[in-house]
Amino acid sequence: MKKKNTIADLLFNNRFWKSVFRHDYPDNDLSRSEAMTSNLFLHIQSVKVHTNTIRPGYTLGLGLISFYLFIILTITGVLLMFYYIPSIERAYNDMKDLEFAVSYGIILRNLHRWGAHGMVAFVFFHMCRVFYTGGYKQPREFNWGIGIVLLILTLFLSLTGYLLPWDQLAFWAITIVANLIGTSPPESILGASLRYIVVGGREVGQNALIRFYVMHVIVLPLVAAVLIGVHFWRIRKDGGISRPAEE
Amino acid sequence: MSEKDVKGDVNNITRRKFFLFFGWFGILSSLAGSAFGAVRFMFPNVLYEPSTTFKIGKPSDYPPNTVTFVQDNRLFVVRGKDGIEGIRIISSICTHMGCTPKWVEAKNQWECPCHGSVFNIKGEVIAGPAPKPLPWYKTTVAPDGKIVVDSKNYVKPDYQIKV
Amino acid sequence: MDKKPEVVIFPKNPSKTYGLMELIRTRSFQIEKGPDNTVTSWPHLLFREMILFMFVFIVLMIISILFNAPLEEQANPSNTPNPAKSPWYFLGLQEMLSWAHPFWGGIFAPTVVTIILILAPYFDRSQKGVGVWFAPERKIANLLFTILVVLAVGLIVIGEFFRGPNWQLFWPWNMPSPH
Repeated sequence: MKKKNTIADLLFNNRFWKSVFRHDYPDNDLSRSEAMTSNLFLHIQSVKVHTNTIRPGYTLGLGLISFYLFIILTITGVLLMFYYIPSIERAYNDMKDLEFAVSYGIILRNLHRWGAHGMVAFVFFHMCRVFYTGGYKQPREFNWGIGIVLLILTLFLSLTGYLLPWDQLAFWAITIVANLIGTSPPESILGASLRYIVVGGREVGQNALIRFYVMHVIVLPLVAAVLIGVHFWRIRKDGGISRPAEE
Repeated sequence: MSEKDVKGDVNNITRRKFFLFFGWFGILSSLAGSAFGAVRFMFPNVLYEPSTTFKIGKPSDYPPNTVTFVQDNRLFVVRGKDGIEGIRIISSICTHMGCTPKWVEAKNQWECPCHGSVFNIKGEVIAGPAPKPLPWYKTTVAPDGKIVVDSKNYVKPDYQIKV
Repeated sequence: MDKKPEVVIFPKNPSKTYGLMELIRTRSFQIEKGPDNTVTSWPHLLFREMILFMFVFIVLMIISILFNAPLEEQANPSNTPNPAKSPWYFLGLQEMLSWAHPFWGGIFAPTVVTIILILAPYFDRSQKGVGVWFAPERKIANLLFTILVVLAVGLIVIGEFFRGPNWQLFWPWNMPSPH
């Protein structure tokens, strides 16, 4: 390619850029397909998609919105971890610090909390969309199942998340959840041991907080991230997003 | 190929099956062992929780014909109610989901704010989803005159310490 | 010396029954319109995805600047708030908890609903109406699912707007203020 003295040329037509993106600007079919196949993050999507896939009135973008909220939640969550200490003496004060003593702390906490509420809602809306368009049917039945599991994971992530501030809501929610798990029959054997393992003892306290914290910041997000990956990959393998049969 | 080799082949198959069985047995049993260890690990053996037997002050701290909530130990001290003169101790942990019911003097009953369970003065469930009555705790008087509560030992509603 | 040697770009291989005949410069009939009604993901899909992300982020940021996340009083084991309500997405569950033995409403019912949902595509195997919103061929399935959605949303609405102190029913306009 001939060198032209434009800023774009300076930025994109050099050895470094070319070592990262080995294709030209995607303006023809070949480089457009290379843009997708040569990129780890994009190649989970196919080079070409059906026009029905990009019809906003069909998907309403609900699944993608859920995914974006998950990304925002991951980033804000990691930032919040720098100030939050999962101890029953400090957790509540850390919340107050985030609000009053940390620059933009309250914005991050708000993003994280409202994003979580939004994710629960949008995962649910997404499920409704898939059902009402018949998208759960063969050959997508396995992916539908993964979706249901992801909905439940979202609920568990929310549950373990709102326990962490150690306010009244948190304490009584843990108490209720622990006792609810304790009613699994037979109560004296299964229920009691499940309650003991969830609370990490007999009374709701420090052990319970650290258990919910570990679940919230690593175990559940990791499982969710893996399942989201499988969910996306299966969309492709099952023939793309559902669409009407063609005549 | 000699006859011996053919015979050897037959033996090899049984040997192969034998090793296959032990291979799978080894893999599965080590997986099961690791899983058991991981689950067992999650059950703490030592708990740093308050004792289930504790003192809650002298009988004279609780005036006759009252129900007093003791915050720190999550129980009610009942004195002189329901025709029983002495002091009795009842749990303040709702048997439904563990919330704290409130004593309503006007109606002579406990009402739980979480899911609406109501307990009468005997601790029995008269409304709401609670599956069991509130338990009464075994109570004694220590030599120093203080009330000792054993919250792991349940007694009948008429169990009392005379004042 | 005056005769130029002929350059053979693609020599004919006598052992093969086919060979390159000619190269011509023209537009492929598939440019800008792939077979089967497809378009290239770049830029048609990716640009839409990027715009959606910006939209989601901006809306969430505006909400976060305008409204603060709830934070109640510090945990106090001896004082249960009255009423003690979960966040909205668990209020349906809390409502069911208040009806019967907690195992049935809190564990059994949600588990059964989850299993039914996961198994739904293995029972509902007709391929009619796939890819169409509210396809008339799928009336029964859509009706059953709508009942489930109405139940879930209805329980949440009851829990959020109609339950007051001691988890008793109130009209939203008669709701006693929390103390």
